[in-house]
Amino acid sequence: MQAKLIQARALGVVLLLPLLLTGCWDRIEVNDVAFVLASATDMEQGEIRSTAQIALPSSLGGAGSQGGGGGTSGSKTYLMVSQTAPSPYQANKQIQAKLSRIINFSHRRVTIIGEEFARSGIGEGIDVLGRFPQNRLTTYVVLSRGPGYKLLDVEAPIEQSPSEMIRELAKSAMQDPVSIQSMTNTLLTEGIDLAIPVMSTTESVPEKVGNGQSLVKLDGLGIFHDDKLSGYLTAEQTPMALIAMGQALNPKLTIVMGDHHPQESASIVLNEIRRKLRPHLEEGEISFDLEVKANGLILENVTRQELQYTMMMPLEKHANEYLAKEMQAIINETLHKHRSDIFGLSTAFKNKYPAAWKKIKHRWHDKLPEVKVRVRANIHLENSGELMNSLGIREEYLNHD
Amino acid sequence: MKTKERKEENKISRDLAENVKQVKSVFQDCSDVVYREIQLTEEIRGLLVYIEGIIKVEDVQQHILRPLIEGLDQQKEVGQDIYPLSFTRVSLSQAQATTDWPTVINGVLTANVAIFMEGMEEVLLFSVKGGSRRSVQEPQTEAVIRGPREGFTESLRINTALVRFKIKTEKLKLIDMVIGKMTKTDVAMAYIDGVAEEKLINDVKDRLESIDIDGILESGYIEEWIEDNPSSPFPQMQYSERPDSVAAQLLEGRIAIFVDGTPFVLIAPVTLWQLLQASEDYYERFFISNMIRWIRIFFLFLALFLPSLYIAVTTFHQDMLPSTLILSIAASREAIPFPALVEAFIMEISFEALREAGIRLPKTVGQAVSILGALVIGQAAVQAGIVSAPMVIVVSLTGIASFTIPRFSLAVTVRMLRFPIMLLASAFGLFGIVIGAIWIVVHLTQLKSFGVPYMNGVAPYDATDMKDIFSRVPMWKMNKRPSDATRGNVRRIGKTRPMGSDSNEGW
Repeated sequence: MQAKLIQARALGVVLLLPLLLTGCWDRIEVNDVAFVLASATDMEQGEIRSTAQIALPSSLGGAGSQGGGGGTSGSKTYLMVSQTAPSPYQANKQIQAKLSRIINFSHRRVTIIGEEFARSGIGEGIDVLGRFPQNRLTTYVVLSRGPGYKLLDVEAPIEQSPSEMIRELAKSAMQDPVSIQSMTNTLLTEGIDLAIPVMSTTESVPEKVGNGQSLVKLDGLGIFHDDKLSGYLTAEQTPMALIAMGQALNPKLTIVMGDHHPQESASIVLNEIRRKLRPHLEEGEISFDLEVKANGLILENVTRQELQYTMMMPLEKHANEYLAKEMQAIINETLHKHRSDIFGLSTAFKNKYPAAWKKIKHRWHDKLPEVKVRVRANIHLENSGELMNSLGIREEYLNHD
Repeated sequence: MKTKERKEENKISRDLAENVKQVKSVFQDCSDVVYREIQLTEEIRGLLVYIEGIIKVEDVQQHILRPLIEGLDQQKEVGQDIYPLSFTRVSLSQAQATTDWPTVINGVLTANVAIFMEGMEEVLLFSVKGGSRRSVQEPQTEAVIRGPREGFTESLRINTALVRFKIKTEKLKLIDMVIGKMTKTDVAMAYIDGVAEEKLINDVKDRLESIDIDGILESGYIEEWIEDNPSSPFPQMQYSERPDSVAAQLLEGRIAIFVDGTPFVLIAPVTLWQLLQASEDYYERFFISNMIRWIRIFFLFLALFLPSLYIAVTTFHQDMLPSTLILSIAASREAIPFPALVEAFIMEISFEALREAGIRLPKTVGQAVSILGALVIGQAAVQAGIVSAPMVIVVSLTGIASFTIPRFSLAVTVRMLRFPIMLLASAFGLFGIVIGAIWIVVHLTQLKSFGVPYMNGVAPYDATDMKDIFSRVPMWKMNKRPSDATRGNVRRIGKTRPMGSDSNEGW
């Protein structure tokens, strides 16, 4: 009994003592934390410029803040801080010196890589992103045309902060959006290369319409060779590249029908895209068969095709040819011009021919222009929507044709 | 020699005058004791002694006084021996004759009428229990939607009768005891012979007999006296106001302790799971019961951990919440002057105070308190920027959660344990909560109620007991009694119920 009492007292003392250790706590109240919503990394005269967008909770309009009268910074819900330093971590450390609250990266929704920084190679720069556990691995990665901090400074009134708009756009850009996790994995995997969605600033309306507000838009795909940006695919090319990568999210294609009527086109949306990549190794020649199967439905039909009699066969045929041609062009461009393997060719090859891969893996990027990729598309149009034929086809026209 | 003298003193004298003197000196200054002199025969006088208020005056008038007076008129010729006559004349069922003083005094105190007679050394005691007692009403603390509406009263015999109405077997045994040197409270221990374990019955009996106290005013006195671990915050006995609950527990081999003067009947042994079961669980269909039970278990954890989780997450692990949620929490905490822990303590303690005030205050004032509580503490505190809105949500959710626990004693325990866990959470974050949780679990696994492990069914594991712990299987699937109290006689269902409706559709 006596021993039990002593035990209980000892436990009490042990539990009460930590209360005195105020200085050693990890405890931080939420109002002493500066949440970074988005960050941009740029290269400026050989130094890294790190820009952070920090949430200002007092101007977010929470219920509790109405009595406190906190919101003094106007309508902006965020604060921008920027600093140059030899490395991103050092830049962030200097940013901290400018802030009264402890900077916290765990809620960074998106991080932007500036063009110049990307061209100089991102490998060393993003080391901290993959290493420091506070950096959320699901943070999306976005490439910008021009300096990255420009993207963070748009008005984007449709969301609470520009970071949110960039994030939502990045999410809609690909099936598996590029995150720090997938970017790190790609960089660490031999052979394959990065393709990161590109964004640029834009005005909501042209000047003649009225006073626009600045927004962010998706503007193609950045192709990397190793860890260096090699070039861009345009916004028009991007869906084809994404289909070839197996990353497309409901791509919309516009297929021009017939040579003499350029306006005669049909727009289709593809869903349930299945991509098959078969590597072949014949007498040292590496080639691939890329087959894309997809179901689609018609969004708009301004052709004179009579869909109800032909069961959409001609349209499917045209779509297949169009898709195969476009994909072939983009694959050739990436392989020849950028010598970049964004399609995962190396992974497929490695899985099938591990021994041969070991021999060529160091020369893989040099061999890429010699690699042949044969593309086949197989689209099945399931649905023509509410209408069958185009509204433009008059009854008499059909009769007299 | 001395003891013999004392024995003589304890005996009733043959002399009525002496007896009257004696009884009046015993009940000196007891204004509620009534003495009524009567003439039994023309020669023999007698004295009626009873305590007003605790007996039924009509019974005394109808069945003692009237027959005696009328009998005197009719049978004038009687011999000296009045003794058998009185018994036959008085038309009351419970009667007893005694010769020593302590029994007489005890009898008078426990609602008997004592009749002293001239020239007789025996005193007749007739039980005329009465007095005003509350009638059977709906239980106040354990309301149900579906289920019997009758609840125990303060009268022991009504209570035992309510159980006897439900369990009509001679195997339902009631062992009477009188506990309390001053209060002489009637206590009855009930069990079903052949279902309850012999060892357990003896254990409970021994513990009850060891009670040595001047007064028992409520079953809580007994609970504290006989529980296994007095320093545990967890209740080790269940109390109930519902005859159906008690009957169900008796059928599962447990022991009920009825105490005169309180509607709360103690049930032992108890497991943690039993305290999470409401009687309605067994009256509604098992789908409903299961859903409600899961909600209850979920809210039990909420009641215990929600404020601590809020403190830990907002002050240590801000990265654990979704970004938009932490930002809105940050926004509402922006102007709050207190750290999260202090905020939580202010709110939790004022909630406890509100709850306590709501019980103590008269019903008419109670409404004013709830309005004050809701408006002043709920709304004004948030608007004034003293307490953040998420904290109000957390505290009220915790309050609601603690009221989903069907047993008040466990609910209070949970509310109590929340405070040390909050302290741990504010010092160590989630690690602190884990430490607290482990501490509680270790304690629970060590705790026993009358030799039965408190978490019986889970630790130690028992597959058949699991049918009624985290889920409630259909009645016809629960073919065995819980293992905690009935080790020998476990089967309670005869044949398995024929499944499906085709076989007994009836044409």
